[in-house]
Amino acid sequence: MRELDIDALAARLTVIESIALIPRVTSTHDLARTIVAECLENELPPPAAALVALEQSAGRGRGARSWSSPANGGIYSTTIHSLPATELSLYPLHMGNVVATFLRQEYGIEAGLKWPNDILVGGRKIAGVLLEARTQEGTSHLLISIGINVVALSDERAANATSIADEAGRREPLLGQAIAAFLEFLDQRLARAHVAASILPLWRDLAVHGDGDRVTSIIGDRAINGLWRGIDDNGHALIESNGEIVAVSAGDVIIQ
Amino acid sequence: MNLKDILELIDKVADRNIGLVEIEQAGVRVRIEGRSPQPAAAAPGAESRGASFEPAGAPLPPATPSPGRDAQPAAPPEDDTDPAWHIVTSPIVGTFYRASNPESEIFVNVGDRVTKGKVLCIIEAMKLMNEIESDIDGVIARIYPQNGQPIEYGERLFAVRI
Repeated sequence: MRELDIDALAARLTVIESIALIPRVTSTHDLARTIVAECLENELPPPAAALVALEQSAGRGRGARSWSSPANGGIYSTTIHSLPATELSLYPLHMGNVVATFLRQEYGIEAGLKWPNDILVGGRKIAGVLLEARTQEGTSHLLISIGINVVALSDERAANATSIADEAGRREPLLGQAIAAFLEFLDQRLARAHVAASILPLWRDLAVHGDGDRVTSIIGDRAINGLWRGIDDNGHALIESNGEIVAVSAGDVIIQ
Repeated sequence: MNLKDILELIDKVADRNIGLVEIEQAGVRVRIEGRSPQPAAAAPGAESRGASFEPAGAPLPPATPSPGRDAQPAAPPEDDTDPAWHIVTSPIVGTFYRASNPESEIFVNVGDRVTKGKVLCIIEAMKLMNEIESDIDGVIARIYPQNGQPIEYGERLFAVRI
């Protein structure tokens, strides 16, 4: 990829120490998990590395969901980041904030957040976050998997998804430049001190949910229908159901 | 495990005077009780052994000593008050998963030997998959929650026989 100079990019980063650009892989998330497991088994610190694929044959979403990852269609990345375990709990919201802010600042796209971290534009998904952590002796080794649709989508996919090219209304962005810009942005955010007090208000500003919106929370085979009442200080979704406020910390929230 | 495997296992348990075997696979726990000491006059057969099937995570009945057992060396109690059982609890509130995703292999089954650091399950909270490791070497004796079950802080996840 001519427009992407990996060595020059890596030299500009401060937290991410190395970048692997992989032409095709099953899933950057699964690959990163294998790397972390191998390191821990051999009592080595996992690398502060970003794995970026140009195509994934089995891109991962939450649970059984896949992340469509056609060749040269988007940013498919997993970054390995080690941090104090005490900072972990708000990372799902924090990473949603990072991706939505990146799309706003870099491309002027009005990206919003569906709890906890689906990134939407006009109700259609433009990016997704999947996090996985392994914690040992107070340190969490976090896999930050982020997929962002970059090039224009086919009509079929455009029914419920969108992309930077579709939303930015500019000339087709160069994928290499988008990858570089995104990794620099992520690296800067990871380098900043973790300030829980700033994560929550930013997330609330970016949320697509309005107070009183009808939502359904699904955890396993249990569903709670109710009204959206924001998030609490733990980042949990607050849903009013049958006159009571329920704090939801897992599962999906569906907008009715 | 199909019916034929289970029947073979029942026979093995019966033939070898094994007290109790628990196997868990694909979310179903199979509990096979072997021949318990019987009075000499008691007819051997169906009453002396049995198999029960139940969803993983369903509480098992407590082992109550039978009069026949008094004549034998005491069997280890099959509950979490046994000092040989180490209980792994959840460090967070979330949803319990036995594999990293539905297509992946299950991390551990009852009867598996685990070492400290082995990933036992995932607890998902706010779309963050937390891998929960064993903090001890031993054998998985019991898996308490069912796959996909909501979990509270401090709730029992696994019993590891040390």
